Amino acid sequence: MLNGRIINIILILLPAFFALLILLPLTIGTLSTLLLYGGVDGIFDVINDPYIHKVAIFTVFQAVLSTLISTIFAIPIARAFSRRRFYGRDLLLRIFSITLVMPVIVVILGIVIIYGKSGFINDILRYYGFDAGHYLYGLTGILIAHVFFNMPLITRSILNALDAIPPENWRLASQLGMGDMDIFKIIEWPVMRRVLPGIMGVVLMLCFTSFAIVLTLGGGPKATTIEVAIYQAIRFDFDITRAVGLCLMQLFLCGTIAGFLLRLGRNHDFINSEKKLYIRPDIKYLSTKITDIFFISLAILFILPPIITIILSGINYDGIKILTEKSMWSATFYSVIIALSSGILSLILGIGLLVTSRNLRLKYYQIKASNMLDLGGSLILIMPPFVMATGLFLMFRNAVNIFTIAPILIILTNSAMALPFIIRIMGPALYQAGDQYDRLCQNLNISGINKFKFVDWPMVKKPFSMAFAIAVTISIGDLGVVALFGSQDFTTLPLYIYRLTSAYKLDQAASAALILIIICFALFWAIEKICELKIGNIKN
Amino acid sequence: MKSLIDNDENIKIIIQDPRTSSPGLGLLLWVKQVYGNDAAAAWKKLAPKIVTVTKGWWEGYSMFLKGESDMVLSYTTSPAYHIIAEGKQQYKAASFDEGHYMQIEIAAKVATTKKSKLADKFMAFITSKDFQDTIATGNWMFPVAKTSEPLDKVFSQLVKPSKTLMIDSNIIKDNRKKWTNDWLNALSE
Repeated sequence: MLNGRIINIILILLPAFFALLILLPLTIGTLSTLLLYGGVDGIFDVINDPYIHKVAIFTVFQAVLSTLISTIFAIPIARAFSRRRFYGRDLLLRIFSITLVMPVIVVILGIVIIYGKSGFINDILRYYGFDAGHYLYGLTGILIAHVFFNMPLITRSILNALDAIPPENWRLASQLGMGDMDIFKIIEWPVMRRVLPGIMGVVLMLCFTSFAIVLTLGGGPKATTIEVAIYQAIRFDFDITRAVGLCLMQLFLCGTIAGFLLRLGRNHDFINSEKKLYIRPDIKYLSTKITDIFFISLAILFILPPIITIILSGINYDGIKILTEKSMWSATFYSVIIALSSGILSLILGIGLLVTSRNLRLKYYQIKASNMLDLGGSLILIMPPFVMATGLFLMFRNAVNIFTIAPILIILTNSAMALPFIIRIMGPALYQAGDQYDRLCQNLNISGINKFKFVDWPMVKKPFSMAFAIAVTISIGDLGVVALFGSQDFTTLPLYIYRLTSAYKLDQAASAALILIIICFALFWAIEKICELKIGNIKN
Repeated sequence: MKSLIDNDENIKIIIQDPRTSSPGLGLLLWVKQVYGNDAAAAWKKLAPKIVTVTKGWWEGYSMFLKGESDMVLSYTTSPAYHIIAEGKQQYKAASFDEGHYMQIEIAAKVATTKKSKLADKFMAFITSKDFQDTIATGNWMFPVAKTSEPLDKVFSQLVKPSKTLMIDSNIIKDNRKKWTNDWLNALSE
């Protein structure tokens, strides 16, 4: 009996164990390699550095503000999308999925064309005799860019949760004649509360570690994040110890705030009957009609213009020439392979952690251990890619030729970077499936592949496809680590774009960026379509 | 440099961050060489003219091309690109009375390399005509060694710095961190 129990526990821990086998070397492994190399003397000097104090305060301030503003807009926008069906809705939601993964510099230029000194908005203002000048640079610019990247992600997450509200609730809401506020408070808010803290945590981490946006749109070194200071310490001063010190500071600060958020999202108390059709009573209200039109227009006016400018500048005579360049296609090919591989690895790692975490929570009531796994997997986003890459370089440089294993290193780091999305997006659905059906499955003796096929999959496939698509596209858009390990023979699309830009081939770079975006879009679409296919003959 | 910094007109300029960009570092050293110990004060005076400080050269230059500023920190050879590749004449490099700081692209052989001969061959190749021929209109900078044909005449019409500024690399090595911190503090207030 006791032995059986121990074997059970080992079986439950196994998936996470294998995931950690890869994740720990990437995080604690790289950090300790760096410390062995640089020494620990003065590692905490950064705590007493007044400049770093200013940087840390600004980092926290802009990250919290960006996250809050993104969320405040995402809530009414998601509600409007949940209530309304209109022409172009699906296309809009797909565009929402890819803002996050667009190359940062491309988005910055898109934003400059709309909001800059000679931008669209200023053109209109000037027509009426005003000139807002360089209003973009500073906190405004940082917030506009961060909201552009992250608001759509939060909106999609909320919308997924709202779509899972069972029709019974809506029937009840109709019968009770609930008003808009009641529906929000009683039906929608409890559902949102499950997903919001997690996704806000992820967005907070993204904004916390934001680099190029803060530098470029921040208007000067007043606006600097800790990530910039880490980059400076490694690339500029080669002060490894200081870099690790800053990295620990970042982990602590951001980990505390993100950890606080994640603790908020603990309640698991709603039932999902996974039937898609429902009629919300509030679609008929005049008040919601007005607010929905307002918020959907706002979302369109905010998200689409920069994207349209990106598309337009991508279509140009010089740029079309790159379609005949072999190097462009080989870069594209490598990018897609790398992205799919890191996406799959990221899924395996994420599901490994989540399965163990779910069993710990539901079968052994080890809530703390379960939370630790989730939190650990999420916090990896705060590990600066440069720290990881430099650590990996030092780890492997004597053993192998670093450039021959470059693709593997890139896949490893990219899959780690995408892990938080997998955990935050798939986690709630997986827990819920377990919470509802684990005991039933035990009674009916359903386990293994059948349990996955009939019980888990129908409930997690939607978040699964979104998480996988995000993991793949995040990897494809990432320049960070490739910049260190890439070579002539091994170039990815972002690196290719970067090389075009340093030779003034701005038009070609714009076209290559457009190709990158189209590929992201296509991958997202394909993954969602494939995941919608039914496994076997399950009806749902 | 002084006529830019002391200028009362509202000239707007985009520069690069010396921590992330080598032209950005070049400007830091440029101001240092012109102003010496008064560099921090000069930066404070320049600050209101700076639209933004970008991570790399491309970000800054693209934003300049989109009309975000009147001037941008770039190369004296930049106009050559616009004239030769695009046929556009409207971009000009400013000539600075105090001279211009030199920007040199470098290549180096790693001391501990296991492929020493191959590295030597490559180093020899990059100073050969085959390689140098592509520099002027590929990298849009001046080649460092002889080319097989004279450069496009546009290159001889560019701004020719009255004086080439350069700080000794040992002095830079010892002071860069401090100078960068001074720069940070001057622009962070």
